[in-house]
Amino acid sequence: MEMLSARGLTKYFSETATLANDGVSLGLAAGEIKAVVGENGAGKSTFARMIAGLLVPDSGALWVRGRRLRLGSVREAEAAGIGYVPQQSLLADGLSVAENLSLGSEQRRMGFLFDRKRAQVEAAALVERFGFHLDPGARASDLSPPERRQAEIARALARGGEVLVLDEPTSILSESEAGSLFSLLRRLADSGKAVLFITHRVAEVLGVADSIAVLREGRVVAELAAGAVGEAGLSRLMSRSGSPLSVGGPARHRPESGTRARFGGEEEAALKVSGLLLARGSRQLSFSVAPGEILGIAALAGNGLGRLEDYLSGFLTPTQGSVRIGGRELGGIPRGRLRAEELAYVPADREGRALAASASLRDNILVLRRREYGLVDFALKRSLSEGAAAMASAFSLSTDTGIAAGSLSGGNRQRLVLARELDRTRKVAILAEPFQNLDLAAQESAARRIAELAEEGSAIVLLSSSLDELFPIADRIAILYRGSLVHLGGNEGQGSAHALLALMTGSAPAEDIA
Amino acid sequence: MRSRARSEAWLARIAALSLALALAAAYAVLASSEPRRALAAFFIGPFSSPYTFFALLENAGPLLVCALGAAIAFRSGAFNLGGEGQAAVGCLASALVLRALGPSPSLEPGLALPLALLGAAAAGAALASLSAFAESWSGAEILLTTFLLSQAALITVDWAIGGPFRDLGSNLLAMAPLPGQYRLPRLAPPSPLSLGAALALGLALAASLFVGRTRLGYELSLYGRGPGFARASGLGKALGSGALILSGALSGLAGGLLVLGQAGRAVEGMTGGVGWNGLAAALIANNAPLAAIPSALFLSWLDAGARQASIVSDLSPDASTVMKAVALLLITARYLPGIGTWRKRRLARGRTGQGAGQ
Repeated sequence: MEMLSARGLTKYFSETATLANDGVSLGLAAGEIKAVVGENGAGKSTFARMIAGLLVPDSGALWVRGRRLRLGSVREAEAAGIGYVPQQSLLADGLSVAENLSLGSEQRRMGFLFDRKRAQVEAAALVERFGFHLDPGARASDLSPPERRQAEIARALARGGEVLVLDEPTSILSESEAGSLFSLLRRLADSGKAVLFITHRVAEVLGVADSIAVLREGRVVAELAAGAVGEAGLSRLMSRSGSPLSVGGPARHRPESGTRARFGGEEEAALKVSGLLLARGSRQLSFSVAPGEILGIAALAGNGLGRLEDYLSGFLTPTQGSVRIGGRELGGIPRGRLRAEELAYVPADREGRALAASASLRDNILVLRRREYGLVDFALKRSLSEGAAAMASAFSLSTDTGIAAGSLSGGNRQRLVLARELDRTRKVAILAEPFQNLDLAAQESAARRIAELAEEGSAIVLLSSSLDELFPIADRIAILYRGSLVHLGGNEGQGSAHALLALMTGSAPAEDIA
Repeated sequence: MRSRARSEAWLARIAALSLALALAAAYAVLASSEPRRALAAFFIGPFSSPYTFFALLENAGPLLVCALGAAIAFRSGAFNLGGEGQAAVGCLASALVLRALGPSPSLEPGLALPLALLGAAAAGAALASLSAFAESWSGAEILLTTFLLSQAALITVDWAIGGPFRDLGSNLLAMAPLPGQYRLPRLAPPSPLSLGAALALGLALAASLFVGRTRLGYELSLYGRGPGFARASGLGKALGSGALILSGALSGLAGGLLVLGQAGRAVEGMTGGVGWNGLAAALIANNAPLAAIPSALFLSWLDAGARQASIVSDLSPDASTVMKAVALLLITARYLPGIGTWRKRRLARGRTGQGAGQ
């Protein structure tokens, strides 16, 4: 049975003068998992938001189980059985999972009292029925990223969701976490739900989806059955130019031996971490990164990667151990100068640190270079706008630099941050999940740029929950597990993935790090 | 596109202010036994003679300066709730500076007046800097410390004016009147309009340039977007402290203008809510220095209108407080959300027509 049928959905954004969706038509049957793939800005999220009733299409129609929906009404979409799980987590942190599930449709006692017990029971029943790994009594703020995703899916189901629409459900998940999410989706589909999920990660689509729709520049350019296409073919369909991409991630020219020699044999480490303690009871952490070197550090969520990021970026000053850049204590360098000249930093938490969402793209992208502009520049602003546009276009971010950074799509926000941080060679670069939200083409050019900076002498640390992102460009790979360094060695590529994953999950014993 | 979004926001504000005026009128009708006279006095009274109009302008001056102070703190992300107390210490400081210079001055007024205003600004800045230090030292909430210090300052200033520095020859709880040459020059005698109002206007222009057209202003408003972003971008905490101290200086200066302007002396309780009204004016102006000019005038008009109405009818002078509260409530609650969605719908519909051909 056709559960969902979208016909000719069209949406034009006058703010950015883009036709985000241009007559998108898709169908979805019960028991089907359909993936909608496309590059950043292909219009995937716009499509999902129109289905969920969050955006009013300019034209088009939507049927759910044979009934035509009024467009642009969240309430009606929900009533028809559409369960939408947005890209960014929308749980009420202070409430329990059960309370979150019943939020908005609370069972009441005596007309106004919240029936907490009943909410608990219903949540437990739901968790049981679909095999969620969730504790209904846990507070939302204590949930790990995969648990949050599950809770959000459970909430969509609790509201009677028959058609699940998930926008980039795996963006904050590691590979293994994504794997278990997909088996949950399969269980849901087997029980008769229809699942539509949106992603730009080509690899994960192939094993999971029954059918695949490819969006490019707001149009459906292909609808395929699973197995009809491989990774390479899918990437080609997605890419704007239609040109074949090298699949399996960007390739890096490893620095030849000559590169290192440029910095002298007995070179000073650009970044030196010694005796850092990430969590109580974990081992102290020491490593150093030479100029021109790319060190990839991988860990699953909750294993200290975020804490390490805080120390390496100078957000936290270590009480034990030290972080030194060019021989100087990180905390002792004036932050304005540090960030302008010595430290590039791409934070993993995008909204808080990386961007001022309400400020313009221009103001955001120039923040590290602000001291290069003088009295007249700030007074007339023209050179500011020109400088910002030049920086943005280096990451093919071509839009009015005056629009608010927060109005950019997730991928474009990431491009903005990368354009700002990778604009020049700084002594050290701390890049946490730098490829997050990027499509393949953008990932590739970002990786190329990172490699280029290394060639020019930057010491680069990549923090990632995905080994796949590290293999193509890292010189060395380190693994964090429960706050301790359990592996540090040369990059042996995809072949070592299995062993490293075992270290990340703690199923292999930690190695001794000298 | 941006400008349309912005003009829509301002349209909503103006609509809210108009609604506030309508509610104010309704209040006047209900609260007064001779509503017609009260209404006429309220709305037209302040413009009925040059004197009342210039008085309205003069009163808007200190209010505007306080609003600039509040706006600068807001832009840096801090709520300076201490404008009232900072203005009060400004009052006292300016009066004390002139008192110390003596009644028969060896000093030119052209030097003494700036000195007194500088003293006022310094006093306000000093009070605000206590909060700034407390914040950077122990993380004390600026919102709380500015408010509490301000309350303490108000009591202390009132005690000083009514106690040790009181002019015993007067029946008022006040310091001695300033000699004529120590008052700000009047621009349109016999009205009270003084150089203070012009100074306030100049400060608003300067603040606007500072905020929008200098690097420091750029850093300040980015700093205010969030502590995480500020720290990640190397925008130091000194920016926040500096903004708060500057905010205090402006509030203190407003106090100095009160003393050197219309009143010509320091009187107990003379700040009369100028700090709070300044805060309100800043909110209405969405912290844009230039927009603070009409917004200060608007609040000053409400004050003047209520005063006029209370003279000619039985409307209480407190009516302006009620009206200001209504106006502020409507502004801060972002009332009239309907305007935005209604316009969007219309635009979307308009586009559907064009889009169908594609």
